[in-house]
Amino acid sequence: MQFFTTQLLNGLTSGVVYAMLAVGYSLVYGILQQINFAHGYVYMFGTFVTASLITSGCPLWLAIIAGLVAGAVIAIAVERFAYRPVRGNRLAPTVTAVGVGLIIENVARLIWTSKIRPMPFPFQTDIIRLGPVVLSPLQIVVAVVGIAMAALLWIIITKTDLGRAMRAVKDDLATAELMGVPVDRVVVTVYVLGALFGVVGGILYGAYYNTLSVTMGFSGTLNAFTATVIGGIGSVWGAFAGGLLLGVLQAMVTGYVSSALLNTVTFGLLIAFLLFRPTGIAGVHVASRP
Amino acid sequence: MTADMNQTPAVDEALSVSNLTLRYGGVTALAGVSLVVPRGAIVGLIGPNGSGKSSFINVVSGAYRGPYEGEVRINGMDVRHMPAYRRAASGMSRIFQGVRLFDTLTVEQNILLGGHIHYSTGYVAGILRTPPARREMAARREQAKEIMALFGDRLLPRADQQVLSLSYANRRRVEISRALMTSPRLLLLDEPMAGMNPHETEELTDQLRALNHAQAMSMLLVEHKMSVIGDLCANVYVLNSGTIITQGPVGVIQQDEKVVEAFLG
Repeated sequence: MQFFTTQLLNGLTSGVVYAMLAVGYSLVYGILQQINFAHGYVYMFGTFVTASLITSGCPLWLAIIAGLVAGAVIAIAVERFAYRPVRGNRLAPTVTAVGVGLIIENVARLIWTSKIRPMPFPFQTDIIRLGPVVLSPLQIVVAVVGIAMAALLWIIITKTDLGRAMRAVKDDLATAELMGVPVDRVVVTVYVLGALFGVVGGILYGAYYNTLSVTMGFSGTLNAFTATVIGGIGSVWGAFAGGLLLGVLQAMVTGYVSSALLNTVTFGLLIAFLLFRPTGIAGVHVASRP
Repeated sequence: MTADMNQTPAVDEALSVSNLTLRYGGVTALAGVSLVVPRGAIVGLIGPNGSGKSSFINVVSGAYRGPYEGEVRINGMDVRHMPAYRRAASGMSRIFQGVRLFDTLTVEQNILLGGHIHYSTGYVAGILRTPPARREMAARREQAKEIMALFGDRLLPRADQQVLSLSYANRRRVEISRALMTSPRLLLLDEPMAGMNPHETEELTDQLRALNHAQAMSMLLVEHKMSVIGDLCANVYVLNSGTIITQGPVGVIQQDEKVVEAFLG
């Protein structure tokens, strides 16, 4: 039972991280029906900025803010130059996104090299025992940050003028603009929000697994994208649910079967959902807009 | 908000269109159309199906983004390079031939969306829920309530309902309320009475007249029901095959042979 509980908590922790990364996909897809394939590279870059600054002695809070700002700036540039000119086109945004993602990754290689490095972060070593349950302080940080970010997202979507505008753009972009919504501003804000969640997720990902690589944009993306599909691509709450489900499943497979099967299970799940339940557990219709 | 929005020239024309020509590929949808909506007036625009009425409204409102010849001025401002959302901010709003609401939003949320362009506290303040942002939100909700009250008890008791659950007439009322929330000085109405029964048509006619009187709101009304045009419009333009064939009071144009020919073929 103790082992099960530990694995469950490990899985939930990974799941929160996946969920944070997955939100970037779901926010953008939910509004534009575009899969933001550059997302993984954007949060990778922001995460590296944070890691570099921590390594160079910068205070943690300042390093995190700098990483968030870097992610936001790149997201704005990606939206402006890779997505906006081809908005409405089905195929072109995928090509431009992958292209711009590879550019971001190559720039990151030039700055930080391809070396896999540890992520300097506090709370990584201590252990807390709560009866039979073993926890690291970092797991508590991940949980608290995850809950706080989910609450923030809920407030943004349901309680603010921005959230209302986002939902209006999702329903009918042209009518929203005719009613006075500056659609381009709303869309770029969505990209920035996705990037901010992604960078926070990237920092937690790096800290939790204590490893950073410029390829994390791609590898992190696989889990995050799977979480998004499981949850129902386009649903931010589905992204959270999908992330948690995937995290727990991976932890159980690792704990009870073999970590060698991790990718098999992840991709098996991705394929199974795409084939048999493409709307995900949230039941979001994938192609609601012609 | 940009300087040109704040410094709207004082003009007597809410809408002034000169020599508007619009071509889709090889088809000329509008050919040299000129039309004026004086400030505070309700002007009618009629014509048979396919005459170019909706194309005209789409150019004026910014729904059509392609090139056109001629000049369109809203409240004195040349809007050629003005995106649709800034036209809304400059005091123009519209309703659509088929009701176009945001189906995942409630009645109140749809209406509040019309006030989006006038929010001054910004996205970040809204997310942080600062006191000014809360005050502004409360003021907008109060404004939305006042607008809903214009339709008696049709919308107010349904403020929290999803718009998909409403009757067609109430959906139309929500659409008009949303347009009013933009605080327009010029309202473009593209067949607002379509799909309404005689009682609902009469009720909406009275409400539009009241809006025009109470707020001196200028309107361009595209409508097939001539009784509505006769009740509301002092001046009517007749569009046929993309050209204005005549204009004048309803009583006069109804006797015009060109108009009779256009409608009856």
